[in-house]
Amino acid sequence: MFFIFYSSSIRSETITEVKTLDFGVIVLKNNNANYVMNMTFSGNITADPEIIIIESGHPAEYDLSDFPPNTQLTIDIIAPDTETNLAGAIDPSTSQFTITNYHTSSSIITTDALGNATISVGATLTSSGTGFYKDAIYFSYITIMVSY
Amino acid sequence: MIKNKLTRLLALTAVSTAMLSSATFAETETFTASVEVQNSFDLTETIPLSFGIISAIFSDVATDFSTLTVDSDGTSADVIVNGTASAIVPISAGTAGQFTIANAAPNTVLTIDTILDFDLTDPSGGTTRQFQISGFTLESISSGTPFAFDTDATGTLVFNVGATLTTDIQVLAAGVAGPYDDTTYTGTFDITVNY
Repeated sequence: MFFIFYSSSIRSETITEVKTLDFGVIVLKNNNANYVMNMTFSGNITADPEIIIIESGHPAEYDLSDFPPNTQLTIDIIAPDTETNLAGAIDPSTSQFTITNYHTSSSIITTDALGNATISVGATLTSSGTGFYKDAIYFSYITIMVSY
Repeated sequence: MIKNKLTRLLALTAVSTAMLSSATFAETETFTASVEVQNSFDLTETIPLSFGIISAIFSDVATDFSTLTVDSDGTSADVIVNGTASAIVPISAGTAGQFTIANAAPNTVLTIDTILDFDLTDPSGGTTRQFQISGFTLESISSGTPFAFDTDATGTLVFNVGATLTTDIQVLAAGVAGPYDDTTYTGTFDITVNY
């Protein structure tokens, strides 16, 4: 008699990354203060003059699929650690960035008639203000939680 | 009896539906955010700074020395002789040094630090005579706009370095004068380029 409830459980809601949150390739001319690059969810990039952009990055884009149609979804972005790491290695000799102010266009979005939606995520990158940055890729984890 | 049992089951179903409809479903995934730092760039010597082949005489008089200038535009080489005891006669022309910066930030002004004077000496040690190199000049050959030493859209800047060679004024204490030994005199210098 409870088979009727499994009709909602077999839904396979998925969050798929279309574009990673990428601040691009930069030169940090100095690290004698906290220098900031802002990237909005819509892709507008502003940076302090001490940050030279070699290749522009882009906000993250995630596809939400197979959610209930025409339903409001609540988007939460969780950053367990705002400080970046070096890709592939732990190297205490280099400074790290902090990535904060993760944001989307709205914390609540509505799926379309097929149960799909797209969200873009921007954030703020800030240099440490002290120390030396090695040439490397710096990354940090973010967790996207979609609930309804 | 059958009707009563069905009624109880439907009631149970309704209760369960109400419980589930108030539950919150959450889907969670973890991704990465990243930035790549590329503070370094490539600086390559494409043409060595050369004063060509010359005939030269060094002097034992402090005010007598000769100079040979290789312009950074690479188009001329000027000889200036001070006094009568020294001389430089070009035999074949020299060339300005040419350097290429690549993989730098595009359309970005770069700063080239002052180049320090250095000496040309005989690397074999066969002679102690030397030349002094000073008076460095810079000329942008290929760059972006509107600044002289900014990179182009590909992050590339090409520039020339000129300098002046001076006959030996460091050996006056020896109290001798005469022609330089035939050999190739060499020296090294550093170029530092910053954002």
